[in-house]
Amino acid sequence: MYLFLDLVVTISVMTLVALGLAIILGLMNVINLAHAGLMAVGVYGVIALQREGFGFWSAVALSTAFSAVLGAVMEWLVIRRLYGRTLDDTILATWGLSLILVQSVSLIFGRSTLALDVPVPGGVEVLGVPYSAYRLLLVVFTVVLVLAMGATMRFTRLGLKVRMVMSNEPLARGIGINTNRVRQVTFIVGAALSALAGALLGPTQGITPNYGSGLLAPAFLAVLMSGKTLPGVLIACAILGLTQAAVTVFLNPVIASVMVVVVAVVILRIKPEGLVWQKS
Amino acid sequence: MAEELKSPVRRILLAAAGAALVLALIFAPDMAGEYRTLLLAQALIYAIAAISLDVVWGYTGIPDLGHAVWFGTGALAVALITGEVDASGMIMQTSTSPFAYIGAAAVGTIAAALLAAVVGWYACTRKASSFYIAIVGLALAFIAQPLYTQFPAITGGEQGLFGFKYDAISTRAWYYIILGVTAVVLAVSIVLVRSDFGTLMRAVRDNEKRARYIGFNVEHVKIAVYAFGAAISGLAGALFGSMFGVVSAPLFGFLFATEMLVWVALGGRSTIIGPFIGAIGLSLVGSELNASFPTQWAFLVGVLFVVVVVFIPDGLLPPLTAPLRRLLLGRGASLSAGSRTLQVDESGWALPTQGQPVIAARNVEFSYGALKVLRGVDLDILGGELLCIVGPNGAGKSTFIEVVTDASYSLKGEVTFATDRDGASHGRLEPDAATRAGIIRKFQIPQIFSSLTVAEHLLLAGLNGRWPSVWRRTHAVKINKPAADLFAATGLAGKENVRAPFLAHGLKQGLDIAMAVNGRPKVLLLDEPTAGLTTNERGVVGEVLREIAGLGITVVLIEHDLDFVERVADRVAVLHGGRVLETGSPAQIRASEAVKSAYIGQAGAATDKEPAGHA
Repeated sequence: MYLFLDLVVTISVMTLVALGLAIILGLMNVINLAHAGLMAVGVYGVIALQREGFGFWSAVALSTAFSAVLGAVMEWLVIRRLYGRTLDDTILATWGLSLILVQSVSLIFGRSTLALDVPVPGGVEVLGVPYSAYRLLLVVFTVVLVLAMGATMRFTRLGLKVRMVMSNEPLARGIGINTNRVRQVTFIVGAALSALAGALLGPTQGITPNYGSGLLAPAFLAVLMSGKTLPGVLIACAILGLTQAAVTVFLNPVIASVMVVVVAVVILRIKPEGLVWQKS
Repeated sequence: MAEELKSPVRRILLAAAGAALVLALIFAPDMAGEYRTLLLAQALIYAIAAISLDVVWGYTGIPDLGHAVWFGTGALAVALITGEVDASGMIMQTSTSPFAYIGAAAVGTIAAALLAAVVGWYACTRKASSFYIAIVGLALAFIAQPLYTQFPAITGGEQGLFGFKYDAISTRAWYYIILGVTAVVLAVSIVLVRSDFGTLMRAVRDNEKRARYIGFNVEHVKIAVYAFGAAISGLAGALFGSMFGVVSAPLFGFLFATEMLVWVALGGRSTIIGPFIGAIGLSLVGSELNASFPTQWAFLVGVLFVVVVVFIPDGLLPPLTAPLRRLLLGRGASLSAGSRTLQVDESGWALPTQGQPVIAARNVEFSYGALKVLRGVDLDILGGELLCIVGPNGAGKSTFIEVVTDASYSLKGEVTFATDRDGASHGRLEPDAATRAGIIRKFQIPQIFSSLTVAEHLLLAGLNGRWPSVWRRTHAVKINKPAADLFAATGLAGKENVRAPFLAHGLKQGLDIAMAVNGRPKVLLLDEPTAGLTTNERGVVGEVLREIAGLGITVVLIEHDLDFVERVADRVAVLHGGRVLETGSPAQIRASEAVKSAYIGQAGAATDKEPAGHA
């Protein structure tokens, strides 16, 4: 039973981390390696605000909002100059942004490992076994976020515009959609989601400035595997999460993280377009 | 004239700058202390890695995000061969023989090359996107580091291995050894990128598809370059290991790999010298700053990444040298690259028997998903004829040519080629193999290589898929008679050394057709070669095509301009609704009622009654 719950939590965490990357890649065709830096900003924002006396949840909200502003600045200074450039260029530039963010965090907070108190301590009994309440809350959070994102894409005006820009950008611009604005909003939302993921995962592990990097690789690969669709992200995270959980049980976590990458690379060779296709 | 007069001045200036750099490098150990000499040696080792990355990434366009992995492999090989590791991952004893180190460096180089060849072979496939190899490299760099720490008995685990350096010689001697190797690598790389093979590398970078359609197995080229780059990076790693006696997980890691990319990007991609200087400069500054302000330095590296990629994508070297070059050579000098001449080769080549079918298509059916494009095409293309395929838009003309010349499409029906003189036949081939077999295509929109000159295009096309020399640079490019005629007729003469993007549209079309012809085709398949040309240019192209057919080369044209068809064609095939509606002489086709109604739409109505997608 624990195994099952661990699996669900692993998949949720991966999805949570992948969401921010997914919308930025899906819509803007930018592989945002600054994701790792934004996650660090998100979690250290919470640490700083808690030191000022804020509660956990309000700190998470404020930290996410701060990252959204940061995302707007990054988009304005750098990202908008990368549209239409090759993927290796965007990888380098966003990795540079990530270094800047991570090093800024190190300059301010130092390199030692910090910890956040779990805001919802204790466990609850699920399916007959006691389990960490906060981890289960993370699952709920992920489900809510995914549903909200899906609903936004499908039912709102913004979602419609986003889908139009995704499927044919010049045409969308031609009928009067401000595609630059749509991209800007997308990047800001993506950056906020990255920071939110970073902040929410804070209480579950030791926090160092590099803390997003370990989670970046699987999330990045999951997004590439997703075929740029929300269900694709879920399927990819399920496959990689399953691999991670299974290998961790039988061997060890380090080998598991290696296996996740190997599985993703093999799947990407068999299905270069991703697991789920856009209906054209 | 201006170029001839002024280029010695430029050469002298460049030579002076080069000599100053060389002298500085030679006398550096006398001026710098022991510690600085070590740092300089390290910078040179990094420069070797940067040069190799430039060959792979800058010249061939393969984004090798795992270039550090090969470096680490070289260093680890030296540690394992020259040192004895105990169970806890400590080096207990090291070899004292210099030959052990030389052998270890060779093994490290070869191991890195083999590893990269396997990775390249796995990652470079026709189906996978050309970016897949970047993902694989990124993945390698991501997993190499954690994996490294998992095997302490071999790799020393978290701490890595240390204390296996070759210390029988002084730092000064080490410095000169490394300087020597750097000079050799630099020279080899410059010769390589200036050679005909270097031209092929740029062609693959600029337009992979076109490189394939002039007969090159693009995957093999990429794998070879990838493995070569890895070998040099492995050699750099082996030098690093031998001199400093350290290997640890970060040498394999993504951070180091990205640093290499920045050396190359900062110096200037595809310049060789730029990455060389970039690596030396950045690693010297880096080791000074890193010692006292590690965090601030990493921050600066991040800023540098962003600034270089976003604001100076060409790197520092081209903007620095361009004004100098403009000053010395005058404006527009950068448009011409080198001076190649064309040499007409009068010899012909073996052609299939005239009048016999060279391509026979039987009941060919093909669908794009649910859209059925070809509904049973029966067509014989005869040796030496000039066949025009006409038909309304959407009739399946281009699709027919596409799927018949590319075996990677799966279709129903049968296609046989009898292009050999002895009449031996074969089925469909992959595009590069088809070109090598003499079945050569030209696309509707001119496909050119953006960094190659006109002569370089013809040089590569003339090789028909054979690999060019990796050291020789051809100055007199061989061009066959019909290609030369086409060249002259379309007004390309005198533009041999102009880079192709600077040609007018009509000249690009002319160059594209000349490339196809220079590959010694037995069957030439041209998709609307006159699209976008003036009436005058059309006339010229038409005459040359007649001449080519007159030589016995089979020419297949897709055409919309029926007047043009009437003037040039021996035979016309009308494609409509995915079937051959009629074949015959231009006059017969013009008179045909069926064809008229097809264009107007009545015969179309008949075929449209069939349910679409009913396969």
